[in-house]
Amino acid sequence: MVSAAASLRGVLPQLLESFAEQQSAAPDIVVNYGASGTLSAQVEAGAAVDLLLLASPKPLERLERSGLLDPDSPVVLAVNQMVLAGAKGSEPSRFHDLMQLPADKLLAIGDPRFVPAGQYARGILAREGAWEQLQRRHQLVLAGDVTRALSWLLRGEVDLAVVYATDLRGHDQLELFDRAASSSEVPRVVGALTERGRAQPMARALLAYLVSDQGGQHFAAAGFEVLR
Amino acid sequence: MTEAMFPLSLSLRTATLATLLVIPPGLLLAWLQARRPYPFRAVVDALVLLPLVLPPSVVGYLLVVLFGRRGPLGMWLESTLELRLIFSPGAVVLAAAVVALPLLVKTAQPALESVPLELEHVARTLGLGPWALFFRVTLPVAWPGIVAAIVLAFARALGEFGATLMFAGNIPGRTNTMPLEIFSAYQQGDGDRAALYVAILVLLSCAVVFVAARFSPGTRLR
Repeated sequence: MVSAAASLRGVLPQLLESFAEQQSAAPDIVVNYGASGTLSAQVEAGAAVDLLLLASPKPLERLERSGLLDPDSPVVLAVNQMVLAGAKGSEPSRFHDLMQLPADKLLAIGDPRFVPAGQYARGILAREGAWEQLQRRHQLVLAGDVTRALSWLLRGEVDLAVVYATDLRGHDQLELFDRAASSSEVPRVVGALTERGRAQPMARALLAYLVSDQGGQHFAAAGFEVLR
Repeated sequence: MTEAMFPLSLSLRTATLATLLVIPPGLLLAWLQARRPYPFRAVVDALVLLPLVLPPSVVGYLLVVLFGRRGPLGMWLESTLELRLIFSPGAVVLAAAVVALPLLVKTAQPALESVPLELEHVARTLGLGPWALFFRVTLPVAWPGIVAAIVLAFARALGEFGATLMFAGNIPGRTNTMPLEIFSAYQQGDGDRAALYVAILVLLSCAVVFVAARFSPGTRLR
């Protein structure tokens, strides 16, 4: 079983499909999507997961300490970017303007307690000096994973959302208003075998495929940046 | 107030408010169902029961569709009262009230039905109007069952999770009730924090079950 960050919903199905085409026998892969913090908590609680694909290396630290991770395997698969998005045609805003966000506007981010996209967003907002104020004025809506922040934006329940650049793909009704400054923390997609997955040839083969050039092409096609 | 105590206080406040909110319409509905044969009574009966039977996610979805910023009732509330419910403590109260109402009606109804009709007839011949009849005869006689109904409604309001998560969000310091906090703590792998609220909710629920059983007609704890 593969546990994958919600932000990989857009790219992982194609990756798995092309991986399966290369295998002699059709691999039996089940994917469980969720917030990276939730997924690692599930592994800690004993979930039978072989491969973790998370939106940040941070949730892996605790697993590593508890010996639940194959210590050799964590590898950066791709790099993403945080963006500020809103509905097309709505009043554009930039990260820098969020300090003066009109009081009736709402901003959705991932819940920074267990959603990496929310942790990155909090970092950006804090640096812009907007975090405290947005929180005090109750203008922040925290999502259980990043795709929920996106769905609130799509439904019009919030005016703005801080999501990954790749999340906006295929949503023509949304508009990218601003990109995070290059000085902010870069969202890294990491892959890691669990202690259990270490002995699974299929999990090892899949991780190897994800870091291969061919896997990288899929990530790049989905809007991720691939470092080689 | 400390951060850890906020979910407890929020839960108690919103559940109390939701219960107070549903008592008048709930008792009126229970009384109508118990005493007044009228057309479509069975339909009303089914509608009242619906939030109890529907999955919480359906209740939450319907609340968002109706009371969200783009929903008809949500837009109306925002334009007339400048009130935006979604993602607010008000949303917690509304979600809790919606699921508490059926429990209140369904528990209060048999209590009201059990009041002997002769008693009400005698009171009426003595000149009591309908309101006086309800408050001075029916309600005092049915009181134990009504208390059980109110306590159960409160417990259901206190335990509301799914619809609250969808309609009120899970915003620390604003809409994170105890059930939501257990969920967040579990998602973060924070077993101690989850256990704290689990213990509080178990204790509260035990108290509720005891009180409800104590007052339910026909059952007495000795």
